[in-house]
Amino acid sequence: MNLVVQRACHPQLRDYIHSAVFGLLPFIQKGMVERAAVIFFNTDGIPVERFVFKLAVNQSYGSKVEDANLEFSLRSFLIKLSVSESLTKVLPRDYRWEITAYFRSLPEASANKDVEQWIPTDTRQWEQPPLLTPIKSMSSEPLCVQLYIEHPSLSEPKP
Amino acid sequence: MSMESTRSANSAKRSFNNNSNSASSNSNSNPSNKKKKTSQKTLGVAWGSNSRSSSRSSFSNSPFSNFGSYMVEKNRKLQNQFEAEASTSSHGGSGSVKPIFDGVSIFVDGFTVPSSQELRGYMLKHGGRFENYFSRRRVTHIICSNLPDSKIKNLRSFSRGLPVVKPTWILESVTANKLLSWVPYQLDQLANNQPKLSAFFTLKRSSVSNGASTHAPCQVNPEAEDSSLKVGTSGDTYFSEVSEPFEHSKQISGESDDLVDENSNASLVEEPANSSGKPCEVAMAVPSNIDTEDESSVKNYLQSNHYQPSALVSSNCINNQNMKGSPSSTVSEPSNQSHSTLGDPNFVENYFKNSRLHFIGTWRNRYRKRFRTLSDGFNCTSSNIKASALKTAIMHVDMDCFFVSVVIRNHLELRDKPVAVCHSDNRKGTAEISSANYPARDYGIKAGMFVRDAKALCPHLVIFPYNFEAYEEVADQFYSVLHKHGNKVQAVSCDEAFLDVTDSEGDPQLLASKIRREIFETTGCTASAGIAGNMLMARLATRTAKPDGQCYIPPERVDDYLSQLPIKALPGVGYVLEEKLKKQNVWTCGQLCMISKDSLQKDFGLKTGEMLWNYSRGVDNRLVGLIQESKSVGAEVNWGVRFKDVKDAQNFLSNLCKEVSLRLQGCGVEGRTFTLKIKKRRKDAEEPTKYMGHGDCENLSHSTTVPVATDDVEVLQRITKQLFGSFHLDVKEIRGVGLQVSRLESTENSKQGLERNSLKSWLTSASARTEELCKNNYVAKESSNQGCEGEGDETLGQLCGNSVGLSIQMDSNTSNGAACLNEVSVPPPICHLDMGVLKSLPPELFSELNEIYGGKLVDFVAKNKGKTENMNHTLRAYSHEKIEGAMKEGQAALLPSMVFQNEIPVENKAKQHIAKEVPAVSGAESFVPASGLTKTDLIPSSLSQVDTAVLQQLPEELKVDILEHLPAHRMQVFSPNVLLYPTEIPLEALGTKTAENNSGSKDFVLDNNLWFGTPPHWVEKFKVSNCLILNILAEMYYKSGSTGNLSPILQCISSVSIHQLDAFQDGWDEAMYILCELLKQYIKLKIELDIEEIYVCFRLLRRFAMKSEFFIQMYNIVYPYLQALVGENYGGNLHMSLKD
Repeated sequence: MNLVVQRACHPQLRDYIHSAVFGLLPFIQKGMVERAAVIFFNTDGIPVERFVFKLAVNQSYGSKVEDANLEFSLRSFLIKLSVSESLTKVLPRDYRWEITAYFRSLPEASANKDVEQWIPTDTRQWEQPPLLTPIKSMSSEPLCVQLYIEHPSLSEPKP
Repeated sequence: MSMESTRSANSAKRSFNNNSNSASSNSNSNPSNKKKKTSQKTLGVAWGSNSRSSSRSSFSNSPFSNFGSYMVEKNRKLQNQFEAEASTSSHGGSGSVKPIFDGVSIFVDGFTVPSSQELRGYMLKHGGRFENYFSRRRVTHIICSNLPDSKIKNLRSFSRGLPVVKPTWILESVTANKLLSWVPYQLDQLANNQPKLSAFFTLKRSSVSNGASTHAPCQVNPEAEDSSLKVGTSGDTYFSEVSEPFEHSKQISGESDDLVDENSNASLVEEPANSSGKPCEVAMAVPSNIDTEDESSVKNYLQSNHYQPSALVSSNCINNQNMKGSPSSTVSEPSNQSHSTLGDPNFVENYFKNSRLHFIGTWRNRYRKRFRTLSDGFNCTSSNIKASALKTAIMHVDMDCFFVSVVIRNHLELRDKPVAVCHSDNRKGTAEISSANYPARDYGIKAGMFVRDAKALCPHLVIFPYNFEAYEEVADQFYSVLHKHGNKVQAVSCDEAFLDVTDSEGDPQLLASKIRREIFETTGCTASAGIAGNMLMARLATRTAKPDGQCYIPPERVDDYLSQLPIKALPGVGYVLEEKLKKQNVWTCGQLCMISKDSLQKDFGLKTGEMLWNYSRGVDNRLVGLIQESKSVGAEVNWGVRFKDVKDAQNFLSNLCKEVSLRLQGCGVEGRTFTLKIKKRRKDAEEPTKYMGHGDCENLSHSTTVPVATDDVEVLQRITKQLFGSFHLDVKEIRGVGLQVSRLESTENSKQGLERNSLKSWLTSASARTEELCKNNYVAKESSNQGCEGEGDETLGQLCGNSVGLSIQMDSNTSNGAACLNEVSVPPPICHLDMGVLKSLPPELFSELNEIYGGKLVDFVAKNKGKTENMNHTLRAYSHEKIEGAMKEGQAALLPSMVFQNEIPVENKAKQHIAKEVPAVSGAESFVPASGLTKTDLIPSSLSQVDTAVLQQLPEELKVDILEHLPAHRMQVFSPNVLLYPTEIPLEALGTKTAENNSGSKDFVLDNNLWFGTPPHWVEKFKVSNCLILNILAEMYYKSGSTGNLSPILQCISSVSIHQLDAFQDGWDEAMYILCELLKQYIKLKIELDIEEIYVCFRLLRRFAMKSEFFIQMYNIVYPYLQALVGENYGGNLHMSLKD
C-alpha cells in the first residue's frame, strides 16, 4: 500500500494485538461490531484515553469491492493515524490498555469458538459524556471507519 | 504510543491462543520489513519528482551556473546510481537470458499503483531503464495510472508522441516473462479514441444489399482470435480497470468529451496507426478492406441484440485484424463497457432496436395500423360467421423460414445452401441462431443453437444478420396478398396468418396455391399453406405441407391424421406439458384421446385439460378473427445488464419505463398493475457462458397496483423506482430487468381518470388557471393603482400585478394541491385552510372543495371574509405605498429586487403588527416581499410557483417528483422565492415575532434539500442572493473544486480576510439564518459517517469567529445544535480545543 505502518517490537505484545484484531474480523464482517476501542486506563481501571474506531460495513458488497478505492481510503486513514500523536498527552508509565469491541448484539457463545476468545470487560466508564476529537473518517463504499479519541470531560470528577 | 504502556496480560481479560498465531505473524515480518524499505524510498522519489519546480525556484542560490547544467549533472549521477544498482540486482537473476525490458526506458509520471520505486525495481531487475526526469531522447514509455485533464488535452506536448502506458504493462510483462505489447495497456483516458460500440450504434444502418455485399470480406478475413480467450481477456481488462477507480471516475467526468471523440469512425483506422510498427503495416496493406470491414461490423452491431454474445467478439475480430502483428493484444475494454448497460447511455433503446423478439412483438401494432380498415370491417362480419354453422374451410398460411428467406431472397445462389440468421457471424461465438433454412436444418441446425455449435455441424453455414427493414417490407407484402384474397384474415405473427375461406368461391386448394404463387412473386419468398375445417387442423396441415407446399385435411381424415401425431405438435403443448404427458405414457394424440376429459382437467387444470381433450380430437372452436387482446404489456432486458451503481440502475429503469410507456401508447392501453421483475445473479453463479448473458439467476418480482390506469412515463418511472427500491438489492448483482404492465384498460375509457391523476397535468392545469387568475387580478390591481400612476407607470403596474398575481397564484396552487391531496388522503382540517387562498379560488374549484368539506367551507369563508378582505386590502395598500416611496427615491424600476430588499425590514415590522391581528393571513404576508424578487416574468407551468406549504404536505415521493420536474433554468427563478421566507425568520429567532404561526411551518421545506444535488442547491441560491457573504460562499464552492464538502469551501474563505465579511449590513439576519440552516443540514448529513469533516468545518468556523462578529453569532447558534447531535450519535461532545 505504499505505506509505513508502526508495529510493536515485543513479540507477545504483537501477538496480542494480532490475535485481537483477527479475532474481531469475523464479527466485523458480519457487521456485528459497532465500535472497536483501544482504551488506556490507569491502575484503578479508570480510562484516560480511548481511541475509538466506529465501523459501518455495507454487507451487500460481497466480493465486488473496488480494491484500489478502498486502498486509497485506508491509506489516508493510516497516514492520519500516524500523525495524530499530537492530540494525545504523554501517559505515565504504569498505565495499561486493552482492546474492547462494542457489539451491536452479543454473539451467542456456543455458536462459534471465535466468540470464546472474547470476555466481557469491566473497565469503568466515565460519568460524564467524554470529549471527542475526530481524527479521521473514511467512507469508502463497503467500509466506513471513523476514528476519534475520547478524553474525559473537563467536569469529570478526578479520582 | 502503544509502546509506552505496558502490556496488561492479566488485565486484558481475554485469553488468546498466542502460539497458534505467532508463526504467521513472524512470517509476516519479512515482507513487511521489505515494504517499509520500499515505501521509504517512495518518499524520496516523491520529493524528487516534485522538486523539479521547487528547484527551479530556488535555483538562483544554487552553485550551478544554470539550471540546465544542474540537471545534466543530476541526471548523470542518477544514471550512474541506477547502473550500479542494476549491475548488483541483476546478479541475482539468471544473467544469460536476454532481459525482458531490454531497450525499454520508462518515465513514471505521478502516483502509480505499484509505486514508482517498485517499478524502478522491476526495471533494474529486468534490464530496463528508469528515468527520473522526462527526456524525449532517453525515455521510450511513459508510465502512469492517471493523468490530469490538462495533460490529456495537451497529450502531444505532454508525451511527445511517446506511448503512455499503465503500470500493469510492466507487471504483466514481468509475469509473462517477456515484453508484451503495450497497446492494450494504453492509459484508459487515452484509449477513448479507440472504437466503441456506442459509436457503431449511433451510425445509420446500412442498406440490405450493402450489408450483404460487404459481408463477404468480413468472412474471408482470417479470424486469428480465440473467442474464449477474448472473453477472458475482456473480463480481465474490466477488472484491471476496476482496480483503477481514479482514472475511471475521471473518465466518467470527461465523458462528454469522449463521446465526441469516439463518434468518428475514422478513429478505427487511426488506431492501428498509433500502435507499434507491425499493425500499422497491416492497416496500410488493406486500407480499403478496413473500411468495408468497418461497415459490415457496424452492421453486425446494428443487428446484434441481446442474444448476441459475439457482438463484442466480432469487434474483437476487427481489433485483432487491425493489430495482427501483436498476437497477445487484447480487447480494449471500452467496447466491453459500451455494450452493456455500463457504458451505453441509450442501451435500452438500442437493445430493443436490435431485438428480433421486439420486432415480432411490436409488429402487430404496425399491422393493425396498416390494415386497420380491413380488419375492422372484418371484425364486424365475424359475428355473422358464428351464426352460419356451415362447413367451414380455414386456411393457414405460413412463410417458410421467414427470417432467413427474406434476407436471402435476392441471393438466388444461396437458395440451396445452408443459411442461418444470427446477430453475428463469429464461428466461436455464443450468439444464438434465430432461424435456419431447410438445407441448414438438414445438418441438424436449429433455432436457438449457438453459432459455434452450428458451425461445428456445418462448417460452410452462411450466417446473415437481421434485416428488420426487409422483414417489415416483406410482411407488409405478405399481408397485402392475403387481404386481397379474403377479408377474413387473422394475423398470428408477421409471417403467419389464418384465413377463413368458407365464403370464397372455388376450391380452397386452388385458392391456396394461387395465394402461395402470388406471395412468391411479390416477395420472392415461399410460403406453405394448410387447409382444414378449423384453425387447429389448418395449422397442423401446414406443418405437413412445409416447406413450400400445401396440404388439405378433409374432416374425414382428421382422426387418422391425429392418431399418430406426437403431442408436441399440438399448439399449446410445450416442453413442460409434454414431459408431464410423457410421464403418463402419452406420446401421440391418439393416446391422448383415451384419457377422459375429467382426468385431464384434474391433472392439468380446467382450461388446459379441456384444450388437450379438444385438440386431441381435432376440435377447435376458435373463430378466425377473434384476436386475443393482450393481457399485459411489458419490456424485459436480460442481456447486457450490468450496473455499476444505483445511478446506472435508475437511469436504466427510467429508460425501460420510457420503452414500456411507448408500447402502452402504441397498443392504446393503460395499465393498473405494474410488475418489476429482476434477475439477480445467484451467489455461486459464474460468469455466464454467453457473453453478457444473465447466467444462473434468481428471479424476483414485486408488483403494485394503482387505482387509476396509466401509461404516463413519469408515473411509470416513479412506480418503478419504488418497486425497485423494495428489492433492496445490490445493483451489481442484477442481470436482467423487466417491467410488465397488466390489468389493461383501453385508453379511451381511462382518459378522464388519467387526466386528473397525472402529476404533470394537474400542475399545468393549475398554473394555467392561476395564470388566468393572475391576469384578472392584474387588471383589477391596475385600476386600483391609478393613484400612483406618475412614477414607474408601466413597470410599476406590472410590478404590482406581479406581486399580487404571484401571491394569488401560489395561493390557488395551494388549493389545487390540497384538492389533489384529497384524492389520496384526508383533507386538511378546515381551520388550516388559508383564507386568502379560498377567497381567490375559481368558483368551480371552490365548490369542489366545499363538497369535500361537506359544505362547511362556505360558512367558514363567510365568517372570515370580512376580516381577511380588510387585511389584504391594508397589506396591498401598504406595499404599494412602499413601492411608490422607493420609486420616488429614484431607484429605477429595473432593480426591483434591490428596492425590495431595502424595504424588507420595514415591511417586516409592519407585518408584525398585522400578524398579531390576523394570524391566518400569513400566506399573504410572506408573498408580498416575494413578489419583489420575481424576475418580472411569471413562468406558468413551472413548479417554481408552487407554494412551499403545499409541497411540504405532499408525500415524500411526490415532492421528489416535483423537484425533479423542475427544469434547471427554472431553478434560479425558484430560488429567490425560497430565499425570501427567511426574511421573516430572524425576527422570529430574535423573539420579536410572536404571532407568527404559519410561516414557521412553511419553514423551507425545500431547505431540507440545501445539500442535495451537484452543485448543492444552496450554491445556486447563494449565487443569486444579494448578500455578500452568501455570494462569497457560492463562489468559493467553485473555487474549492466543487467537492460537495464544506471544509474546502471554508478553507478557501479563510484566505479571504475575514473581517471584510462583516462589512455588510443588508440582510444580515437573512444571511445568518440561511447559513445556520445550511450548517445544520450539513451536520445532519454528515454526522453519521463523517464526523471528521464536521470537526474540521467547525474548527475553521471558530477561527473565523475570532475575527468576525457575524461568524461569532453564527457559531453560537449552531454550536449547541452540533453538540446535541454529536451527543446523540457518539455519546460525547466534540472537543473544540481552544488552543488554535
